[in-house]
Amino acid sequence: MDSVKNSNILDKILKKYANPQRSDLSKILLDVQNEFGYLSEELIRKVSNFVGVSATETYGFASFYSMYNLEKPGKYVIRACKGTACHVKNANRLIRDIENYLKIKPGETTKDGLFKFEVSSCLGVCALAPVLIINDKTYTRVNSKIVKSLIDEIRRGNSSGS
Amino acid sequence: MGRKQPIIVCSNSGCVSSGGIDIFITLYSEIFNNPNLIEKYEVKKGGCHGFCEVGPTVIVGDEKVFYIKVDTAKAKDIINEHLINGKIIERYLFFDFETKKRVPYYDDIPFIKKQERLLLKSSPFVDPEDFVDYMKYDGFKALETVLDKYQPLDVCNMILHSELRGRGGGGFYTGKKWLIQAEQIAQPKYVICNGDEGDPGTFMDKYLMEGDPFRILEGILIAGYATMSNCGIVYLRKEYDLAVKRMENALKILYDKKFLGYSVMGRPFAFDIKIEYGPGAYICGEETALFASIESKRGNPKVKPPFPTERGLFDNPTLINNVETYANIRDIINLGVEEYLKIGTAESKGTKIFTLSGSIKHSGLIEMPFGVTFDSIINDIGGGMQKLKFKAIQVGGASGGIIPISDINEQISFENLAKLDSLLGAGGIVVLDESTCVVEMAKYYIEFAQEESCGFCVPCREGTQKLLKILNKIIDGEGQLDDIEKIRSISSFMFETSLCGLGREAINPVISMLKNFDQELKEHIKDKKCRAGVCPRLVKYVINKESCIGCGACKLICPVNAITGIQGQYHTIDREMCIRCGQCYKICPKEAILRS
Repeated sequence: MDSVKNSNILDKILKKYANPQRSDLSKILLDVQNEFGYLSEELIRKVSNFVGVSATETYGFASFYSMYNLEKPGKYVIRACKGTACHVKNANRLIRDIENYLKIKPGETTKDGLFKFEVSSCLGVCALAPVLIINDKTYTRVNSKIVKSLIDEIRRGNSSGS
Repeated sequence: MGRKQPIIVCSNSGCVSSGGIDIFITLYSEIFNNPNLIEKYEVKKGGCHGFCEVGPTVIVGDEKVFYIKVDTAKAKDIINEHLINGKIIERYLFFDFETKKRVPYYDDIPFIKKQERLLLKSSPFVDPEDFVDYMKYDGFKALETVLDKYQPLDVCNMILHSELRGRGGGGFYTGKKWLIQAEQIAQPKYVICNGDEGDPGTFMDKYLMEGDPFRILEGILIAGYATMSNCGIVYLRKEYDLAVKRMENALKILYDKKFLGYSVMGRPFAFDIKIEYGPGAYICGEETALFASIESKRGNPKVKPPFPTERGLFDNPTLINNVETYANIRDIINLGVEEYLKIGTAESKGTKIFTLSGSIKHSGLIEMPFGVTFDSIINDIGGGMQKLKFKAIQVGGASGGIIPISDINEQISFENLAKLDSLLGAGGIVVLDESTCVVEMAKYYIEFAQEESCGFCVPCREGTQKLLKILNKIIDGEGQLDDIEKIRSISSFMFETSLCGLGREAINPVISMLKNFDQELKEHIKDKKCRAGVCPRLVKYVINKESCIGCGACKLICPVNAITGIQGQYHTIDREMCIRCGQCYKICPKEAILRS
């Protein structure tokens, strides 16, 4: 049932690209990801077939860039900055504390699927370092305590809601 | 009825992240609901004033009263006390520690006053989402002048004579690029604005695109006309969501107003601009890798020549410039080449936007003419150091150098920084204090280069790994003196044989460390000592029995419970358990914890 529904959605996205060029690959992948959240092996195979490139090539392309998720991301993506300004303001310790608190490494998702932790090379809010983004909201001048309470708050909100 | 007085809420990502939008909404609705106020005031969003540190900010009226760190409660006070009762609220103003006085007006804030702005001059007062507002500040005057008065090649020559150099880091003469692009006959011809900013410690492109999107687009349009190209592309990082939003909005307006499309401003010039998203790889800031990413390929750079102006995107002629370079175009045309040439040094003309951050009192976005010294940026504009003493300046991000205190009076220009074995890069300046270890800093940059290396060419892929290994060894206290020689030979090998700039310039932080901080490096290797106390294996913490008062603060903060002791008696640190994080050292009220 689900897979039929999914393939209908996929067909709808692919229909927009009547005469797919090799250079459309990035846009198609992005559209697909926006709809499904991530690019599963099955989706990569189908898109590759459609565009006419090998699945290996598509995977090679998608895995090169940080924008594409090849695994299902957490509901909340925490992105910590480790640019120079954040680095000199102890971003390293912050990152280590988040790792310990969530018990995952950068790039991984917690088992309950709630958090994905990422580290970015610079988020461009250097004047207010250290910086952290959770989904679309930017938090500035954070420390481990603030982050922990943010995480706790999200956890609480999600456990009571469900 | 006279003109309404503006109330401007900064709406760039710095201020937005600290709650700027809420303040805008509060002020807007309060004033909207008050018939007396709505006749006198208009609330609008403004671009970046650069002083992000004190955000969110509100600028009131033509006299520009500058309120800092505003929240919704303060916003209501501004309405009641300032707008209704006409009194400036002293306590919400910026406090100048030097004069020990509150500074009421925007133009008098030392951080702003000491700058000489050209590109950022009007940005704080112009709504980045409002076309009409942009037009009030000479908007598209330059484009109109160019379309009506000059032939395309004349414009290229004007830019050539203005001696404008690429602001993305290369410093190539922009006019030369434009002339080559203009000569190309293949179609379509692309004009790309490179906004794939990713250098750690750099954010001027982001703030320019967020704060003044129309200025960038005007620059691109002029470039399109001058080089007789027809297809513009703004390439920016998807992560810069506010910049994406503002650019999309600006493009939509320009199409609606017929400033883009088959007949720009009703003149016989057709030009289109679209947005392409950088999918997130530092290497895509390199132009050939950027093309590859638009073509849906892995971002591997290509060997140059052929240069992009001959064979670029889809093998067609492509002009590619940095965001800040395009931001300059409008002012060169409006000021005239003669006037523009008066700004700057002999070989670097115009102004440069720098991003100032690190252990400095005031950080943010600043603009100064080329030739300004580090000293004046740090001490005059930046207000000096926060707490600890000044140690070094890191300039130019991952491809820049670490400049020591002895060079603080050096001028910043393309020619002078090359002499100091550093690059201007995009203009990121991070000020480092005594608590920074330069060896660790060099490692940080190499680690960055190693992670971001595309892995295509061997010298960069392997070289960065080897360098990182050696630096890690030194930081762990296992360095040997011949490591210095190894670092030198790997670096020179990488410089000579890497395919693109990332590999060639990745060594700059290391080379400048060898040159300027030789002593500190040797201390790490020979004496197994880190004077900044950063490298964990090279520091030890002990509690001085005599001065310890047994308050227990250190015991509480220790993350691994390595400190034991009874309240009121001296405490001890278990050396085996200690992870050398230094938190006890910082918290001790009696300075009883010694670091060696």
